Amino acid sequence: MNAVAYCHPFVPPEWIAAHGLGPCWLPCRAGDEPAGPVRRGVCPVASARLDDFAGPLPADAVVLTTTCDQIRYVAAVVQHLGTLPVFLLHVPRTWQTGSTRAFYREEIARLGRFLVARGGTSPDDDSLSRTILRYDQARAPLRLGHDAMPASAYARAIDAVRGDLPETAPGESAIVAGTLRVPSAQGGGEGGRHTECACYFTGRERLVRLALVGGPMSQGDYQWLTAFEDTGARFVLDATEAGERTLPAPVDLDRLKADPLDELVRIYFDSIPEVFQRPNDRWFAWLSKQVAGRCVRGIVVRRFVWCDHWHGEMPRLREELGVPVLEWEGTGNDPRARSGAAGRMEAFLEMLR
Amino acid sequence: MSHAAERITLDQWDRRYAALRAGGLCEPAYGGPLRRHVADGNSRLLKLRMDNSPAALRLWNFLLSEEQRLHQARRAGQRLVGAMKDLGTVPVMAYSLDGVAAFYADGAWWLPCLMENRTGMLELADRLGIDDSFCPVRAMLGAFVSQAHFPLPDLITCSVGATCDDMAVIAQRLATLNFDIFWWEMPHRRPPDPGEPGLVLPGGFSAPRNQVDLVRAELGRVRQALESLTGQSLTDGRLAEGIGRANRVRSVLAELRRLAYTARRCPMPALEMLIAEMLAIHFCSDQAESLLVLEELLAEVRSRVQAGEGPLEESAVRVFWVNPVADLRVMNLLEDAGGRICGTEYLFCHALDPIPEDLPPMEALARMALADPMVGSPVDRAGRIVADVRRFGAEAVVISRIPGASHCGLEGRLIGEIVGRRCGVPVLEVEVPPISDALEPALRTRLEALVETVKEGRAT
Repeated sequence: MNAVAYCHPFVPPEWIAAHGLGPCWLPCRAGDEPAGPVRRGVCPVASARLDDFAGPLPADAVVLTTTCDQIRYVAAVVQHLGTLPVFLLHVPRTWQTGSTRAFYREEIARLGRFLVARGGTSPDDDSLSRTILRYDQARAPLRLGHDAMPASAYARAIDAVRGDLPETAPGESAIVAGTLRVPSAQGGGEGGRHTECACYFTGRERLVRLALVGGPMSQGDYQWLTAFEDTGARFVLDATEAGERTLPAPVDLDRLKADPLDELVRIYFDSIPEVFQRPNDRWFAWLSKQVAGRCVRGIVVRRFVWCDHWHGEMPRLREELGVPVLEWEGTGNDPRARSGAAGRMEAFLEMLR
Repeated sequence: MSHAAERITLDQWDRRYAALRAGGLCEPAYGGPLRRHVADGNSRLLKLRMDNSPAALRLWNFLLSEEQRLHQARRAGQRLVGAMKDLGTVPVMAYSLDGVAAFYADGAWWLPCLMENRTGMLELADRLGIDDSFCPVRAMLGAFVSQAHFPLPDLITCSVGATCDDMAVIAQRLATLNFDIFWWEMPHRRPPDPGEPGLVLPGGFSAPRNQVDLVRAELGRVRQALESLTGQSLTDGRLAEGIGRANRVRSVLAELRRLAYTARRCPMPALEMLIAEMLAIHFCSDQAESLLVLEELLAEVRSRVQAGEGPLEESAVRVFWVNPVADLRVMNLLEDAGGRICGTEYLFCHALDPIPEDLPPMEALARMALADPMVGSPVDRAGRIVADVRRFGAEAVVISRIPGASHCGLEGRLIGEIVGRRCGVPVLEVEVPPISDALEPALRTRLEALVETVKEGRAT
């Protein structure tokens, strides 16, 4: 099966899978690679993506989005190099009108034609519905409750449901995250996050409750955070780019039956609150509600230098959320940079205790 | 009063102005000596060398009196439209209505340069969390919040989508500070897929039909907002007349560029040509007057071309310039180094192309808006630059980076590689901050090296 890589949550993996191709989620690697080149003015995430596409990739094509200007230019560079088929999905930044929503739907349809050209098969409504449901069921436990779990494990679980999910019989669990089993929507709370949560945080309810906010996080970032979880932090909300914030909305079965593609548009375009949207009130309202609802005591914002979107939101995060904010800036492809942030993180935790 | 064409300092302009007045120079209401703009804070004029023609005097006075003009318009009861990240579309619509003045709020990005960082605009932007990792357009945030420059518009529009993140973020910051922004969507332009309905846009880029339809729908919302603002009906007839007026400005500018960039001897310096080109975006808040200003400049250029005169040596190296400079003085530096401008792509080439008049007006405006070089791939943009480099016979290309701008991180290398390979000319990439004095020796050296490289190539 041909694999199609993507790296933004507004690209529906179930749409790729429904075409008979393998969706391949590319986690962010910014900051994980030692001594990578720093490109002046280029955000480290865009830079890392350029490196991704310059080397061997576990996919035959890639889907990028216009949600960030620098990634839009990365798409142009990769298209110009001609080494990899690239599809650039325009995700409208405005969301108030039917015309932009219709345009996103047209873009998804256009992506479908791209997938067919890569060897995929255009799905009929039944097959699309089944695939959408399969992904919805796999995501369901990730939305259930927000009891603490190591941030890195939760991130891996979310990454897994963005990938190629095996076909399962109705009601059967989908296997994700390596050996983790995430229960189906009907299956209750066994396995997966909940089992691991219980093991990990039992008896540690006095931990400082934190939220992660910001752009993409790398596995190295999450592993680095583990050290702080071990010393008393508990990340009860992952509102980073690939975190729970950008999980699509639950599927409405009636709508799915009526028009599966429109339901796909609804659970993605209509529902995911994003910082790049204009205005981005929906994102901020969502975040405010989650921060209050989960009794978050401090917010760690992951942002990379030259990332305008998150940089520009720092004042509002500080001014309006009512909890202390720690800015964790990534400056480039240098894991040593994390050590510089460690002292600030420790001080932040001490202040919150 | 005849006078040899040359670039002169402000001190020289004082004497020149007195002589012109004594010779009977008639000026519009905003006329006067350039020196008075220094008193208003535009101290960068002291370090510039400007063309010595009455036409250039009028151009500079027109540019530097825009804030006064906007305040006058407000006092006169006109409705003000601030068009953000919109290089040439909404102003055409706004000026189709009566009693409306539209302006380019992003134009505040030149305030730090003109006022040599003494505006406080950047400091205010810093305090509002928009620091120097953003492009100098952040000065606009300070200008809005302080209200120290332009009056607050009655309607603020902002194009988002395939636009630079700096503007999108700064405009969002304005929105969080309770400025009411009218957002409209601009999709990333791409060529039609095989079999997909598409069309060729003004300027030669192509796009699929559904993108034009989206932009037309979005501009339809802008049209409604303008109608609500003014209580007037923005009919197709009015729009067609407005497009016709915009096209007259564009046609004068097109001829001005053709003459200035192809003449054997450069008839008008780079600085004045840059400002002239900028008028096409928003007409400097007075569409009718901008036409007169350009016509006078064109007459001066025609006269100089016929006489074989110009402010620069005939041997000046012909340079194509990509992106506008944050510091106007750098255009002087190029000429000091022995170069001249022969072609430009200041990010708004679509505002220079004629708007189709044989189409329904909203369709024509949508096609024009979608032809914005920034909303498509930089590879497309490079293709247009290649064509213009050849058309104007440029011998070298300078790509000037705008510090912090989201598009400048990657576009320069891509455009440089394509243009250099296809045109066989040297390409230089430089970064120009709002005040480049500290970098001047390095910039000067690099520009001189470029000029010498071309001249050595000529010799062989």
